[in-house]
Amino acid sequence: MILAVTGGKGGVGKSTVALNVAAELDAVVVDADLGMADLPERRGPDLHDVLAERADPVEAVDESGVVDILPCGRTLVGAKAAEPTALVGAVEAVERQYGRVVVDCPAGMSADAGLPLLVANRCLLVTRADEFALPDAIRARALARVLDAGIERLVLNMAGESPPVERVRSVFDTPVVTVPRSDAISRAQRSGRPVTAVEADGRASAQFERLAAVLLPD
Amino acid sequence: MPTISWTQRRENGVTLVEAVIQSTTPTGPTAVTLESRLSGPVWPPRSEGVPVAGWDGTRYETTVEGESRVAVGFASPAEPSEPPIELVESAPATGMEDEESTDTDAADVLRALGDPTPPRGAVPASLPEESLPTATGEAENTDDGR
Repeated sequence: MILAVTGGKGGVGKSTVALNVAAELDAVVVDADLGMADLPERRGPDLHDVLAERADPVEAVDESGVVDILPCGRTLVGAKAAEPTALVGAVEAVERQYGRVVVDCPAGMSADAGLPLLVANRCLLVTRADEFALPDAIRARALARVLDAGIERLVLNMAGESPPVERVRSVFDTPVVTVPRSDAISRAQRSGRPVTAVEADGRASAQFERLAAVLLPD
Repeated sequence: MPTISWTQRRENGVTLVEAVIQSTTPTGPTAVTLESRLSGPVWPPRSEGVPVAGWDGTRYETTVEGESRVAVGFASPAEPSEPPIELVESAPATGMEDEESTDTDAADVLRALGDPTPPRGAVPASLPEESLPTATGEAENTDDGR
């Protein structure tokens, strides 16, 4: 299974959702934000090296943390040397070895946001319930549709007390899962860990479990 | 067999070739393959930096619908020669090929959405190729100031 986590706008929590869902699914998370990576760095080869044919995608997967991760480099030189289209083969190679892959997409509508949706069969659309994020999520949804990545759920992230679930559901015509704004999530993300490693019985953990159950029936 | 007509001209050291392929069958699409006869590399038209679909080296594949025509153009640093382009293959297009052409691939995504890699001008030019981070992380030990 290859699941893309997309959303259009930056800062809505795509990387947080990708890391936490990957933890629930026991999947490898691929940081596909070639220009501005968000997921933790690890030692050793990264996605820039893989896309420049300097490293094997499977060997670049780091298993030293709570979640297996194919990290992305941080340098402009590395981003320049990377061949974006090679992402497709790299993600497929990781899927063959590990079975489940979650791809954290960059913001925007450029090819680096499109290519993960091309290789993925399914995706999660992450947004916040605000006037800036929602229009971008609509554009990201259009891109996911064109590239045939089935939208499994809309994740309404950093949700407050009474998130507009019904309205968002009717606009997007997609089932909605909310993830509450949570200190535990922020603390966990800062240390590159899923929230279950920090607060296993909290509401945020429960919502990521729900998402995983949707993605893996039985 | 469809017919081909062409023009070519030389501008600023570049030969520009234009061709029109006219179908001669009343119905049904015809798959055609064209090949440059210039003695130099072909510079195909590009969309967002990626050659448009159909080009493979000096050959271009396309489909002409019945009783209609398609145009193709390319550039080359080679001197003009006659003919600059020829029709090398033509066959009734089958449904299989139609299906294939509607499949999106990674190059299509790049063509439609644009290459996301940073522009050359944004990348520090002083870093030699060897100092790129390598699979073994050796770059961390180079003295390039990072």
